[in-house]
Amino acid sequence: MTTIPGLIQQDAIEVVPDAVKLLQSAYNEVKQLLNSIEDSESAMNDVLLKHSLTSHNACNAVQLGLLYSSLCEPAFAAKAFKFLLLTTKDNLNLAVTEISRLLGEYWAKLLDTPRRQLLWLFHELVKSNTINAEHVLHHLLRRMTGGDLSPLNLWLVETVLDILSQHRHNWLDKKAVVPVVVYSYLRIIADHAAPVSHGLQGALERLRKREIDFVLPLLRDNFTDCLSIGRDLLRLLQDLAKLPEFERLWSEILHSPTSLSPKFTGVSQLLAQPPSPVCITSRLTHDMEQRIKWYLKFVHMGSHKRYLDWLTRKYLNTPESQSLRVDWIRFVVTQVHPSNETIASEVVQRWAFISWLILSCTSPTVVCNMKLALYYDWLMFDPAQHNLMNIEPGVLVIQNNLARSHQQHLAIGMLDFLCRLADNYYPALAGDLRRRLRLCLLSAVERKVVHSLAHIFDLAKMDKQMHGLLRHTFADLVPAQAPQAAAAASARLPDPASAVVGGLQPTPIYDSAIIVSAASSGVSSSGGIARQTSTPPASSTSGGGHHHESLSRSATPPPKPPTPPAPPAPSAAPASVQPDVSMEPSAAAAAAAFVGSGGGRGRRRSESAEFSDAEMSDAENGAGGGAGGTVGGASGAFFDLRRDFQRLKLRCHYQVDRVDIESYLQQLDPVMRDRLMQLRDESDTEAQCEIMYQVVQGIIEEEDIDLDFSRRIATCLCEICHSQLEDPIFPGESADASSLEDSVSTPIFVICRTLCQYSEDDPKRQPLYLLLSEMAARHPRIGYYLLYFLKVDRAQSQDDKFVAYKEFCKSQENPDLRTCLFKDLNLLAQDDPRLLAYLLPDVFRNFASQCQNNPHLMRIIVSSIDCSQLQTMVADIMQGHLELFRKDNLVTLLRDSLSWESVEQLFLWQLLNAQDLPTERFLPLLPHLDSGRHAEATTNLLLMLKLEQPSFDLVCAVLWREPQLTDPLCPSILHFWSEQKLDRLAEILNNCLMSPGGGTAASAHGGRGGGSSRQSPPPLEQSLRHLDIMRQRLRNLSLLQHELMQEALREVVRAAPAELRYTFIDLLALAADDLDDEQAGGRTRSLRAVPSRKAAAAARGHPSSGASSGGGSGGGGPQKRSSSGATRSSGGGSSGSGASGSGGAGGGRGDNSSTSSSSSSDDDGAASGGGSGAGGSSGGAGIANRRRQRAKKRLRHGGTSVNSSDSGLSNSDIFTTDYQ
Amino acid sequence: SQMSHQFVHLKDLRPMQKNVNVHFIVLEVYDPTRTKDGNEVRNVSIADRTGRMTLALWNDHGRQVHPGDICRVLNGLTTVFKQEMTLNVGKNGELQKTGDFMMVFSEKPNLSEMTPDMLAKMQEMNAAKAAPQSGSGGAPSAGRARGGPSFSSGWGKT
Repeated sequence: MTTIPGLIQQDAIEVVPDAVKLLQSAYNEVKQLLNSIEDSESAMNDVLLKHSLTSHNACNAVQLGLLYSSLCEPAFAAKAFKFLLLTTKDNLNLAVTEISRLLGEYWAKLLDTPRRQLLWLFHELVKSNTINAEHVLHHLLRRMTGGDLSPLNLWLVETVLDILSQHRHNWLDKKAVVPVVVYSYLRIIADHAAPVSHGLQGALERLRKREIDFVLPLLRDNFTDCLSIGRDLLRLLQDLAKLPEFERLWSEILHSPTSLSPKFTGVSQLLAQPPSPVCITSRLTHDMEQRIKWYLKFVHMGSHKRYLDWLTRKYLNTPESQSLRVDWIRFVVTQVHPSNETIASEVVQRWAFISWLILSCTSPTVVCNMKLALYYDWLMFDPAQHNLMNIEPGVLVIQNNLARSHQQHLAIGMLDFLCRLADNYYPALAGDLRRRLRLCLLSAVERKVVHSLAHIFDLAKMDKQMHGLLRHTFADLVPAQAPQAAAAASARLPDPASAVVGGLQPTPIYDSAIIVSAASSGVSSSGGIARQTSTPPASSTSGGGHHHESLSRSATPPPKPPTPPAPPAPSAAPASVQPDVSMEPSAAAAAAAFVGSGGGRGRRRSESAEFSDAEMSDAENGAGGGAGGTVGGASGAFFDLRRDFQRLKLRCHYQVDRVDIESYLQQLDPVMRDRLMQLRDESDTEAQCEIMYQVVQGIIEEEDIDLDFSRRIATCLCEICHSQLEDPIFPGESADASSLEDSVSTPIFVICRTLCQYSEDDPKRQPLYLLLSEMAARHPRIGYYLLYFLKVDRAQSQDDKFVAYKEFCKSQENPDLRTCLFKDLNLLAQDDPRLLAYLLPDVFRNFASQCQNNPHLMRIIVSSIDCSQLQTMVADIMQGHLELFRKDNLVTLLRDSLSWESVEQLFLWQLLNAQDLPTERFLPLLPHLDSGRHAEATTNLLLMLKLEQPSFDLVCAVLWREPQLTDPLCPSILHFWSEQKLDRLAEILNNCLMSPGGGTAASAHGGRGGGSSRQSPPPLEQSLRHLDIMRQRLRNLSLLQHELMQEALREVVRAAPAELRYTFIDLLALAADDLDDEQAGGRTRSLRAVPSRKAAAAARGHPSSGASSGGGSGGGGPQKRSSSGATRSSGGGSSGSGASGSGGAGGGRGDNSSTSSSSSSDDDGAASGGGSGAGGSSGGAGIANRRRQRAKKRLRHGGTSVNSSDSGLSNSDIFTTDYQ
Repeated sequence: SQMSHQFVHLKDLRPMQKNVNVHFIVLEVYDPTRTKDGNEVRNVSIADRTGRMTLALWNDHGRQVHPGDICRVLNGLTTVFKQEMTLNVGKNGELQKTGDFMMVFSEKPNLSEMTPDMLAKMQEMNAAKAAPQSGSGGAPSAGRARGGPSFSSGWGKT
């Protein structure tokens, strides 16, 4: 092998990644395959196809090799891609996965050529409308890093832009994609709108314009879908509102939201909508996400510094990359939610990471944006709906930094920011926003994020003005005064607006002198002085002045006007300039919202004014949920290629030899020859049909038709119509009449149509049958083409139109109708399952005796259909159009199906269920089912039985099954029936036991095989074994203690041979005790014992129909029972199971039981139960006592197995679950 | 072949070991020094979760690693230089980079610092070498080469 073209660039010490090795070895494999082949594309394709059919691995290798080739060999790429499409069996899944991997993990290392080729590949995928293209798109979007103006990133941004705008229609219908594309590009535009110092300016401007031209219409046209982006859409747009192109959009968002989307009610709706995880995550590359998540999961405080250095060096090194920090904060706040264990551990917490991001940032603009990103989820927080983990880092950033003397400024800056945020972000809602902020803090206390607010409103560390500001915003959550008092206080104050927060113990420590209610803040915004709303109520502060002070103390960098990278501010005319200018928003000011909040001299130009009062209405969460992406159907180039592939695939089924028809033509008479040649040369379908008609007429009129003549014509027609016989004919099940009509208006169908014009017994039909069967011998599809035609063609009478098909079969070489039909349907199933499902109703109606219950045909059907055809068929069955099965001899089919693939069986059962077949027809299957190997049928039969009422025949049929401890069927259905129809079942079982079928199982088998109409009950031993299994497995006491059952069991005890009694000693003990009692004249005891057992069963969590909590005290023996023990026991094998089993042994003796379901420990339960039980057991038989003791002993031993203690009692635990 | 390598933690390394395989993260790469014959040697501070240690890298190797890289040394050896234990790639060894960032480490203890035990053992060995019958000294060292455990247990007993 020659050298392999390179994919990635690596240092010598870097290990070649396994994924790359795999690609390269696959590439070698493919090269070897193609090595010997000349340039012929079809030959190459054949080789690849053949190879990929040999095994799964070979198929994957072909895919990966071709992928590698299209990435690394530009000259061969187009061909490689085409082969890729032609040989894929998984819709390019594998290839797309690998492309995604390359994008996610190796993008930075890719060589230039593969990088370019990767984009080219993406282009091809989009062009051909591959379903999977959107996965690649997601990864590409993630690769477009924010804050990266490197040529590579710009190239990527622009290339993807080119591709997307060029093929809009190919991806626009994928609703899930649009929001991410919009979000990503909005974010990128913000980067490209920021002024840069170097020579990029011009190029960036051009690019920005293109991006805007692309994304703005996209956003407008799909605004409803884009609402699913959530509040971060607003956050990004706000950064862009200063751009003239976005002015109008802003204004519409603020003032006429419904003009953008009927579902959009305004800013508050967006603010209330949590961000889309996909969008948020899309702003981080795969490796960033991986590293940040890893960092927040594994790195301990103390060793974190180096990691932060490495992160900085890798991602945050350039001036423009500052803005990336904002994306990271949004990601960490909303998407990285550590577990409680992590939070409790020494691992670095989110607040620490975020604090570091903020403190290490050098751009004041970005710092403000980061603060907004951190607190953005606070604005519309609703504890009932939103995740507190989005709030947590913000709270902790304040509390924990306030505790660290050198970082108090950060915490105070945050508090300051929060207060101003509430007042100014959206003055129309200022009151509500303040309320929400309070709610955030209260929820944080309530959910123990922080112990109290004392460390947040630690007034000792703040000055008076800050205090005033806090009081204004957080009202009585903030201590009224006296820093000393604050230290001791735990600020858990009732908030008038926080009634929502339940379970809060109001302990009013601070007096609530000043409560800024929502109402009062409403005044400020409605008074037409929105621009000035930042001024807190006069009562708490002295007006604007203090802002300056608090600002200057705040952590944010010096209040200089936004530094170079922040262009927004300049236009953001300070509030004073346009003081009370109306509601007429200036988008520019809006943009400034927070971008400049740390700086601007006049402070806070009340950007907020732009939000019109129209938005006052509450946030109706009518946001259009992101409609799941609809997978667009294949179309265009891809579909063509698919069809190509189908053709190739079909060649695997049968070979259609192309023939040179010239010699055949020469043997025909001139008229016919001319017509056929015309037909061959004509390209217009309609004209072709006409010629075809003449050809057909010629055949009919031919005097002496012999086989040779037919063969010649058939050969010529097959060759001429070859392409029609290769194309799919069926337009789809939802096609309307006219397109169905169209589908049969090709020349081939002219033969069928002519055939049908003549009456059934018209001799003119004969030559046409002959022709068709000759054609079918060359081109087998003719058979189902005829079926299809007969179904679609409306010209003929309904009754007997399929006679033509029967006749057609008769004229074939092998004239057996069934063989013929199955051959055609088999081919059809492989060609087009949809058409198969479409034809089935008619086929089954007309050929019922051939088709119904035929295992071979049924398997053809279920092995080719998918769920949508299944749906069609079930619908057809239920509407009475399709009858797949007949009642008699169903079992042959069922038995045959036991060896089918799982999904085939499941489909079959669905179809069986769809048709209304009597359950008794399925019963003969019962003895053949092995639950281990025939899970599909067993399950379905079980579900079928569930729908039935217990009847003598049914129960007998069930009891005839070989009793096995592991078989779920019998115990399940008997248990189910006992829950539903206890009396009836008991009666039936009573019958079975009292008059057991005589003889051995063998003889009964024979009898049953004969299909006697009435089931006879199985031998007594078998029935008893079933009951014994039920007893062991299900602990179903209500059934066994039913009076009729008791009666039957007593009868068994009385009458059965000793051997039998010995075998079922434990089962019969259930009745034996009562028998003893009865004999001792203790009839009343047995009556009491019954309910007490029921209670025991109930306590065990087994719903029993007659459960009464009655007889606890009346029971004789001690019976401990803890519900927890019982629960555990159901798992079997645990220590609890042993204990409960032995407890059951005690209960089984018929005494007992003070069902102490609440007792938490087994031992306690045993002790107390023992105490009270002892008192109650007056006539406590010696046996019972001994067993009781044994049970207690076992209890003490905890988990030791019951079986070990006494072999004679090994099965005696009614409650054991000693099976696997 | 890499699958078959038995990796040990840095804390399990002992002086004068051969054929050791370790997996670590690079903390610092210090300025190079030149040997007399013109080679460039860099001391690199490496760590895993058991502690940190010095690795000496020659020429290209030293230029190819950066702080934060996750690497492994296959068939490396330990030497003692200026009373400090140092890991070396050696001419039969191999240095590979397998990733970066995502590895937990501890900067303490400094495993290059020799413990009194180690120093005593070193002296013993040196004494043995100096002794006349040192010709057969090859046998124990071969035993050592086979793997850490036997060697380190030897250290433990002293």
